Amino acid sequence: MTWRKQILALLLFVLFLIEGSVLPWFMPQSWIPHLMPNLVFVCILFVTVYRHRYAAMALGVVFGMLHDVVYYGAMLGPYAFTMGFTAYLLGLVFSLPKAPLPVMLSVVMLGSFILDSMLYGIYRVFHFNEQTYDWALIQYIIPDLLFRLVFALIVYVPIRRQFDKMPLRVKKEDNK
Amino acid sequence: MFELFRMLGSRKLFVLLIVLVLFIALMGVTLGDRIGLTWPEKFVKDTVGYTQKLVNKPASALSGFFEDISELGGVYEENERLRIKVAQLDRELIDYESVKTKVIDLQKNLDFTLNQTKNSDKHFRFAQVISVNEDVNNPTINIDVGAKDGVEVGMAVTSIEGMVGIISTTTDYTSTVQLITSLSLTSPDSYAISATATGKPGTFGIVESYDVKEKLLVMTGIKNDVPNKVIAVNDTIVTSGSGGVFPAGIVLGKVKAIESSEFGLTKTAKIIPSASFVEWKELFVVVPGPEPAEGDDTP
Repeated sequence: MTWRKQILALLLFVLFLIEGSVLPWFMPQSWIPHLMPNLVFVCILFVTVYRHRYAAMALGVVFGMLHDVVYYGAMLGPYAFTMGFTAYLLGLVFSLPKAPLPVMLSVVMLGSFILDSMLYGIYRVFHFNEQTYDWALIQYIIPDLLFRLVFALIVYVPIRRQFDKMPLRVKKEDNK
Repeated sequence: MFELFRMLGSRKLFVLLIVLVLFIALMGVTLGDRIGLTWPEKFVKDTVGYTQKLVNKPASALSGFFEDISELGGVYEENERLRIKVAQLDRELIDYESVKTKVIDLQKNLDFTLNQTKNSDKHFRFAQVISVNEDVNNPTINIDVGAKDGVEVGMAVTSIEGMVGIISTTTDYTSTVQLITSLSLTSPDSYAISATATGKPGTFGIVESYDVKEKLLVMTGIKNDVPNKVIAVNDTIVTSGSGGVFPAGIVLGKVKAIESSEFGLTKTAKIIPSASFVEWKELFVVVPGPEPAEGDDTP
């Protein structure tokens, strides 16, 4: 079937809805100030490792922009830029269609860390936060990382199965 | 660094830099106070808001159900307590009515300007939370009332306990609330709330930042020099209504400590916010002005 890609995009949108409108009602209240469960981003990291970095970058920019527009509080752009850029960067380094579980998990950890740090940096540059980086690290960057790691563990098997069924396009050598 | 350059290739690096510049420009342009949103933004916000409403309804109902079950044990005691409270309220309501008519009479005699009466008047519009952005740097929530319901940018939003935030953007059917936890002196789109202590007329201070580490609101510019107009620990702080941005009487929190300010001329109070910022289901938008008449209400 050729519909897999479209269904993947639709599932990402459903995940986007869930992380904003369902998850906060079921998470323990003490977790809420420490977590930003960017579940869509975890799935985009799967795309960047098992498919292609350009697809992941496009998805990252689109869903990041969606996040920016829907939750517009301070400015547009931070999520679109960081999600697209992180997905592209990690795809450049870890583009392995046969990557095993530990590699994928370390990609998720690294990606989550880079995303949150870049977001911290952007908000810092525009003076939206005055906290120090080590405070941010303890308060939300590391809890986020663990949360996304657990989520990646849960969805690893179903996502991997779907990607294995999807035929890889004939890979052209990257032109420099 | 040079390996990275080689790996990216010069053309890709060029594209990356242009994209970086474009994004920084976008962030800069959309930063701070904007008047209204463009139509694509409104379209996306309204459609996503509608689907979020659909998803959120069963979810919040289900989580409410679980909460109800876990609270089942305390229902009997709570009922008893509430019954006593209701009886007390009934008694106080009579007092309230008589005091209210007296106040209105007195106000008429004092010839308040139209603006001043508007300031003290407010009514609450019920709103359901449809989604929460758990970004620590930029905390916002979306609610299901919008410009069509008379909500405007800059209105205060409260929960049952106290003030939660301020409307930062509106579309036709949804609006975004910026939480007061993002109040900051340096932030480019922050705002200041003029506040006073309840039961102490004449006291004044400005709440304009939130201490993220200690989870306290900071109220500055308090002149504690007149002996009987002193803000003290455990006072309840409410909006004062002066300045005309927020109506008077919205609860902000309780004073935890009073310190001298940086230059020693005024005092600074640390306030424990009364709203919890974690559990949102129903919020109220505070609309200035008198309550619309029955039947006049927009749906």
